[in-house]
Amino acid sequence: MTAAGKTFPGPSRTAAMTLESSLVVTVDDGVTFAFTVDNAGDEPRDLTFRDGTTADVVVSEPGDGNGPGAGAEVWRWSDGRMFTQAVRTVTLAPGESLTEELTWSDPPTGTYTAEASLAAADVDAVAGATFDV
Amino acid sequence: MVGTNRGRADVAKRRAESVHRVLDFDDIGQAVAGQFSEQALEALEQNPNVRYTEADGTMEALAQTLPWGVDRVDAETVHANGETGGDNSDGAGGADIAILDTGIDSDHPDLQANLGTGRAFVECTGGSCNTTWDDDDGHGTHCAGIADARDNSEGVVGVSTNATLHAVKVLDNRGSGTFSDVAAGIEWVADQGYDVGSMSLGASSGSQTVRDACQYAVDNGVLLVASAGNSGPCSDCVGYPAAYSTVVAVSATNQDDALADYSSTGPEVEITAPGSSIYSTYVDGAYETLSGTSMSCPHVSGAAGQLMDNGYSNTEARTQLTDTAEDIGLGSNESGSGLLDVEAALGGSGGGGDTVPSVSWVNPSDGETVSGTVTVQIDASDSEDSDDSLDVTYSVDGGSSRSTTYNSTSGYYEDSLDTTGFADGDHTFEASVTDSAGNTSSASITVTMDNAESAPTVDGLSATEVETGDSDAEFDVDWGVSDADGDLSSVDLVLTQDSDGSTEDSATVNLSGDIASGTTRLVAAGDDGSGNSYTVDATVTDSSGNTGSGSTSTSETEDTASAPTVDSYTVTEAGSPNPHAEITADWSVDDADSDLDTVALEVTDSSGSVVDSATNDVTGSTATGTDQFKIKQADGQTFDVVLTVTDAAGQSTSETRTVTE
Repeated sequence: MTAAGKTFPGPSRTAAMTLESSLVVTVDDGVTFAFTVDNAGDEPRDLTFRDGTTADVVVSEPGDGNGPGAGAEVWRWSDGRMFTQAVRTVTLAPGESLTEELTWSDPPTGTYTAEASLAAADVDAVAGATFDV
Repeated sequence: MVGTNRGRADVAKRRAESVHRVLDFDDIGQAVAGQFSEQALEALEQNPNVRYTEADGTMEALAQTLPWGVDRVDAETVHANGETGGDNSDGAGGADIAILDTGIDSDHPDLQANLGTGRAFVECTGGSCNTTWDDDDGHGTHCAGIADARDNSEGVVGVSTNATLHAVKVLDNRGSGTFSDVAAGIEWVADQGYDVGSMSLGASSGSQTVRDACQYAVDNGVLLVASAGNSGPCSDCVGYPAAYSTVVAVSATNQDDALADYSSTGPEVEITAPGSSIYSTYVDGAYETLSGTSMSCPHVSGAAGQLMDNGYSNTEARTQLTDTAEDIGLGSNESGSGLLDVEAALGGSGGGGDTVPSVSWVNPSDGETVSGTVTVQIDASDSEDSDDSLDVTYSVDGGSSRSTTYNSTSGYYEDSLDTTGFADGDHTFEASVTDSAGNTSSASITVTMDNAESAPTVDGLSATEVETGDSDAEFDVDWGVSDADGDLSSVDLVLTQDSDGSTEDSATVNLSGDIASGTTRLVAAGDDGSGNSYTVDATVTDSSGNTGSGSTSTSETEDTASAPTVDSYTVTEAGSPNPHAEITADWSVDDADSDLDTVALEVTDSSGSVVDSATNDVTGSTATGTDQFKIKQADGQTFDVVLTVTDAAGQSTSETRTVTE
């Protein structure tokens, strides 16, 4: 976050039992998405990633009010990227968290919704936010 | 390293991420050398069976590990022959292998001497960026070590060991890079004229820019190799750039030669290589065990470097890699042409040091005559391959290749050959052996086939005279025949009289199959009672016209059949008051061979004089009659009445009755 930027803390959503996800969107020259997954449980959690992708963010136009994320997809962080193809395992100790910052460098003006998701296998950890550019 | 109490190394092994070695010092205890997380070490220090934990600093510097993947693709074998990827086999300089990745640890002791020019298309971040292309993640350093770690006294050894590595940093410190940066890296590799571009990276969708960059690199002589992807289990899911036709797509196997469960598959997969639990170089001079198609890709890249150092072009090397890949039973979408085999790939080149296997014939031997079914035995051996792992075949007269099976008991490659399918005469037997490097040799011998030796045989023959009522000499001939090749046709039996050599009778019995027996009656007409000797000859014939024979002797022993017998014979005197004897004889006779002739009766007095007689002509097998005799003035005398029955052959039987007046 920068002093010049606006911050849009998204609502936290609890996913996958003991993992809590949150997304903070900071709009400056570009848009920075800070996606945090926190191990809120009492046991260590092993997160397995198939490749170099840790998390992804999808930005969409706002819905028509009939539901979240109903608008057309505008931008996806992983589009146009390649990744290492080694399997990785990350262990989150109880209380430990993982934050992935992903940047959208040239956003057109508008109002958007963002949904961030963890790329770990067999884990459904997502968080969303709405923001203006 | 973790020291444990005696016999309790298991407590440390359970907590280890990997185990290099377990030491056993008997009463002192055990020690487990391996990789342990901080958490594992903290937990182990609380375990009462753990005596100590300590860092394994000097051990790694004193020994080099042969990673299982390098071993599995037989790269260490070509190392032993001096093949390093940088030995300048073709006189055009060593191979240049570009690692398009997160960079390469610029001062890693197992890599540094191989590092050439690098280039960064993304920024290196962090404290260990000695150069722009230094590795701020670890992934690129790991891949570089698989392709080309030094063969020295420490760490690991690569598939190539002395090729020049070029770090092309196109991925950032979290393992991600844009299509444009990747394409720029490929373009740079092409412009440098490097031999191999190793791309342990991928995306689920493609890019025309990356595609064009790959085409440009291949047109400029670069062999591009890429990871098939880690989307498995899945089908038709090879990622990009691996899916491009200009790029060799590499899937991944584990230590069981099975497809790694994470490995992507699809028709673009061209070859497979070890990818799971691969130990290799890592950042900060360290080593790490990683899994993925990122790890299988640089095995192929290192092998490509070896080939191109031997003068192969990029397209020739690509063909050679797939032509020599080892079939490990995976589907073509899983492994393409098979598992990378560096030894075989280099076996065909002039610089390859793999020795030619040897082969020789054990059975049959040169010049031997054989028949029926033959156990073929071929002795084959090779300096590099185990004696039971060779591909050994043979052919007869240059015909179709016949396979053999290694017999661990005899130590030979064996097959069962039915020679009856071949014409009798000389045939050329050629044995061929191929080793895992593709080297072959052969050995030829000449073998004579003579399947007349499998002609049918007469196994049993005997003749027994049969007693009959007619005038013929009759014999029951018991015979048994067999034929090894199972095409019995007939048996001929001939009865010959010995004294004059005349043929008395003959018979032919039609047969089939491999064994037959029966009883056949042969008759010497009119010879009953002759006492002649005879010979029975048996000749068995198979459908090929091969024959076998047997002979036995017999003789006519019937002496005109049996003598007649007296069934009943009673003689009575009338007992009247007059002085004359009135004698009545009732008789019944029998002849088994039915040639009764006469029944004669004689009455004799006490002085032996015949006082009366009678003769009856009889025929057939039985006869009954009554004869009466009147002897005058025979008061008180005793008479013998003798019955004699005679058959046509002159045999007779007599019985006597005595009566008193």
